Amino acid sequence: MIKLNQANHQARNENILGWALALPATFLLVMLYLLPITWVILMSFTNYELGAISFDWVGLRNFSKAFEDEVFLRSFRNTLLYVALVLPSSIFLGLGIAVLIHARKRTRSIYEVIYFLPVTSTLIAMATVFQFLLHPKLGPINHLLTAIGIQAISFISDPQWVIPTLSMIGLWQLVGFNMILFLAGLSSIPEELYEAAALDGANGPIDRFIRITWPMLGPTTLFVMVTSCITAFKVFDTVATLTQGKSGSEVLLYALYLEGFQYFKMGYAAALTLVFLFFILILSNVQSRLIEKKVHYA
Amino acid sequence: MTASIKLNSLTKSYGTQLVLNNINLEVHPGEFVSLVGPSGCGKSTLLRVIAGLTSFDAGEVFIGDRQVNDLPPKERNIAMVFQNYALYPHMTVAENIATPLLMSRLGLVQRQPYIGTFIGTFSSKRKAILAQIETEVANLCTSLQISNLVQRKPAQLSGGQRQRVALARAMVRHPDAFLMDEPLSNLDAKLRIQVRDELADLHQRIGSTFLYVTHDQTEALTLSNRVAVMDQGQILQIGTPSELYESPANLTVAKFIGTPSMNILPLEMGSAQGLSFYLATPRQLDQSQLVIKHIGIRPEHLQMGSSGDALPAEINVQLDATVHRTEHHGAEWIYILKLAQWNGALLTARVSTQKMSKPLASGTEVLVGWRLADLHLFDATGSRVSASPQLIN
Repeated sequence: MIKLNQANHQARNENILGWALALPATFLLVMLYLLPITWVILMSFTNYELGAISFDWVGLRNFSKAFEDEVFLRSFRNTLLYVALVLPSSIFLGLGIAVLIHARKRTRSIYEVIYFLPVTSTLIAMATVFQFLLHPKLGPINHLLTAIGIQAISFISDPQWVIPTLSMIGLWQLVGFNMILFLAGLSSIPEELYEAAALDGANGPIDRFIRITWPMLGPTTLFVMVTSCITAFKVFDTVATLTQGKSGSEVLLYALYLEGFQYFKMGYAAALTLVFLFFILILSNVQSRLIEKKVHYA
Repeated sequence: MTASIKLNSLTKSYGTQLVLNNINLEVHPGEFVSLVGPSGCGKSTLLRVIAGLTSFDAGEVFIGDRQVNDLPPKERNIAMVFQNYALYPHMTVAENIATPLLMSRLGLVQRQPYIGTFIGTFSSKRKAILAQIETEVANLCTSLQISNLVQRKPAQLSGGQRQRVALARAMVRHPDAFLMDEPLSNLDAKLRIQVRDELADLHQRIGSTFLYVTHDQTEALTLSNRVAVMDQGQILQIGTPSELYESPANLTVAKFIGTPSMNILPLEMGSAQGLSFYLATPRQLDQSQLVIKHIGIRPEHLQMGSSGDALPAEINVQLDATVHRTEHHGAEWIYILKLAQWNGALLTARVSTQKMSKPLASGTEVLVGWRLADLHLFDATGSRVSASPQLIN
């Protein structure tokens, strides 16, 4: 009986210690993530406006309003188009560049820096450069186009062109980051596998890539895919600096920034935030589940 | 099917460092030859040169009658088993083993995933080839007793199983020769011996040419028809295990082959620390021309007796010593003896436990001796001197 008590006592002590050790992390998690999210969820059921003294519970009206809101729906379509353009191109371009750079020996670090530079640059500053480059009359890109006989394009103000243009800038920003991730993945593939493949007869570039490189990069690709998808979904700064949402170029984050911080409709903005969160959650989940099956983890 | 491997004055250097120094080696068809030497001696590099994975500076590599200097690895028709097996981690065992066959029997487009499968739905020839490959892989797996593993990935296999899969992948296309780079070094001691025996059986069964790199001399001696001892990019000696053991060509080989290793004692000109003998050679060298710098004696050639009693008369050399340390090795005692003369040099002696059931305590004074005929003699350059020494008095 006494022994049992002792064991109980010890187990309880360990229990307390466990909680004590987990407490700091739990505290931060609750304060930084769980509470704010709960707050946003609660707020999305209200018509609270920033600075207002009172608010009413409006149920799901914010959500139903969102799906009738012309601006929000446009921003939603724009974002989807943006992701559809940026995601595959940034992955395949990043992978291609990484494979090419990985084969370099002496010049590798130079290329790494060149392709990684856009990641480190602040887009606010680069916006000026892009504005100049893409200017319908003064921009060198349009000079080039007119020189080869193509009519000048108003990249930023033509509703047809604005999202593709923004996604090219997004690609420019993202591709270096993906390249670095792929490079890290490539470096972790053991050289012996390629040697074994060479002896087995798979030593052409196509066979090497399809038999070894691509499958071995599975985990990296999954990671790159999910992070790129989230980054693309969060597009905001190019819109905020280059177009300010003009010519129908609103994207999800910009729309909810407008609602929340320009029009101070916090309740509605919270609802939009939840929609946004929901989509990111669904997308990354589906991607993980679909690809997880095919990915080999060493 | 099985072919010889021949190397003519092969040389390779990394910068100023010579890693392969004028290597000449011939492995006969069906022979099992081991390359053995300390790490960094160039044995793995040599194997990789033969496989075509590493370039070399000068010389020639022949596989069978073909000079393969400029051929890519796959056209050399040899298989290699890597130290870490280098199994494709994302493929199942069956896919791993089938890879060499897929590569050689299907065209570039046909063997690719998706596209190949798509084309394959219209091509009965592709189906027939795949079915044939499947049968061959299945048969091989049965003969290597890995049929129950075919659907697993390498990560789900034990070390010994991976080893077998690597062997299967090497065997599946019936190569002209097998190259093996320390294939047992990642296995634990017990498994190593088991797989070693399996390798010996396998070689006997398929009768193919094996070139086997190891740093473990026991593996080399037990498995091989011939062993090549390498050091600092050179082949020091090549011969049958018993040739290497009984007449090592130089000091390095003498020290390397045999466990416990050979006792080596330095010899000064003239009388060697009270031990006088001369060499009977065809030309009857006299003592002033004594070129011997070191003498060597195998631990099992040492005879021990309690001090006071003389050893049998055929033991020409008898010296006083004390027991320094004793090790029990199951069937035998290993004695480390400290000589009274020779600056207190240490000798290792091997005594069967059948002869001596209880060990002598440390510090016990003993008499140790050997027959002159059992001595190995080495000159100043470390080369073996073939001569039979005789006592002067």
